[in-house]
Amino acid sequence: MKQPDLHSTFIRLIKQHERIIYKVCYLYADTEANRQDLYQEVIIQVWKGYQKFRGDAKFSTWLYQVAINTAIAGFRKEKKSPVVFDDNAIRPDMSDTGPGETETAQLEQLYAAINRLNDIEKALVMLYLDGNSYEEMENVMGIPNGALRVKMTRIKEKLRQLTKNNQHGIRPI
Amino acid sequence: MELDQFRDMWAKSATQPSAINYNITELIYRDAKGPLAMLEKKFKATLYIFPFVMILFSGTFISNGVNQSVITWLLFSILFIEFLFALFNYITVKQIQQPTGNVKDNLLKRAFLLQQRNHNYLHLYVGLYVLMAALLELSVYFDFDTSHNWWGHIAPLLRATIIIVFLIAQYIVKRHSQKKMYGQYIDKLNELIGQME
Repeated sequence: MKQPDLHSTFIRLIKQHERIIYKVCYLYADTEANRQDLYQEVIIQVWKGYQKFRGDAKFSTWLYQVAINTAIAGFRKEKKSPVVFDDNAIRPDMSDTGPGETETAQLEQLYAAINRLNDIEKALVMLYLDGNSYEEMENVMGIPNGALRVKMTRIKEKLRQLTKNNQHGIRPI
Repeated sequence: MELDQFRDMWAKSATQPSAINYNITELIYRDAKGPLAMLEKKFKATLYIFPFVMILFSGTFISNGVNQSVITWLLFSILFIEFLFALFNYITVKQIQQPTGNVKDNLLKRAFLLQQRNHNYLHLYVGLYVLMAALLELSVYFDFDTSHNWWGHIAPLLRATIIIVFLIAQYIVKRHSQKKMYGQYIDKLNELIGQME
């Protein structure tokens, strides 16, 4: 493919799938500045990799891989003070969809709970909520299907506990 | 709260960071700023030093050919090995930076390459210092270079002790410096791999 074609195809694909990148930035960066840095880093890495992308896998699967790999292993967050524990660090914006207050509050609670998961669990929840099948999740994460199902059951239970504790104002250690 | 109930809401939620309004066309031509990209730049800069070393040594090699002092050969060999190692580092860090492949394999690859690199670094430098010590001993024994005679006047047992202490100290210092530079990152990678089990 010629460079201008490659370029325009790339931009079109990114625009189509930009929600994946935004979600990754939201889950893995805790401040607005870090989110912007991570967004830039992901785009740069995706472009570098795209020039060698052969289309063996779905573009979305490949994009998840690059974005998650960049976020968890190739990007250094600014050091947080150990005493800072901000549940609102991840706050969804639903202004464009106009949901009710209850839905927004519930979603905020979910994001706050997800924020307490480890990096791998965050990725699994994102893939799951984005509607990916276990096969697709396996392709992205490299965790066998059976182990994924077990992990997801545990994560669901963990989130249930975390949101329950949040509702009662208990902060799990 | 059940996770499955949130799929629709999650799909609708817009998580676009408010201030992000980048021109992707412009973005893709920027340099990466991640810690590994910084490391790549550092190793690349080291590669550019070697041509200057060659220029520095060319005068003595042109005038004296291969009849150089042991020290000159040793210095040149060390700098040449440093250059080869910088090249190896540069290639390794480029490989580590590849963000493609599934997450688990990518983490395993990064951890393996970095640990292997640190391992090689330690062995290479300890090997170089052993070579230096051996050359110094040979130089004294065969009287290659009179400037090393002072070393020959020291008792053999004391010389051996000095060499061993020096080698151990170098090993500890190098290992500590590697741990300080890459230890945290390797620990993070291993922790992530552990989270996948």
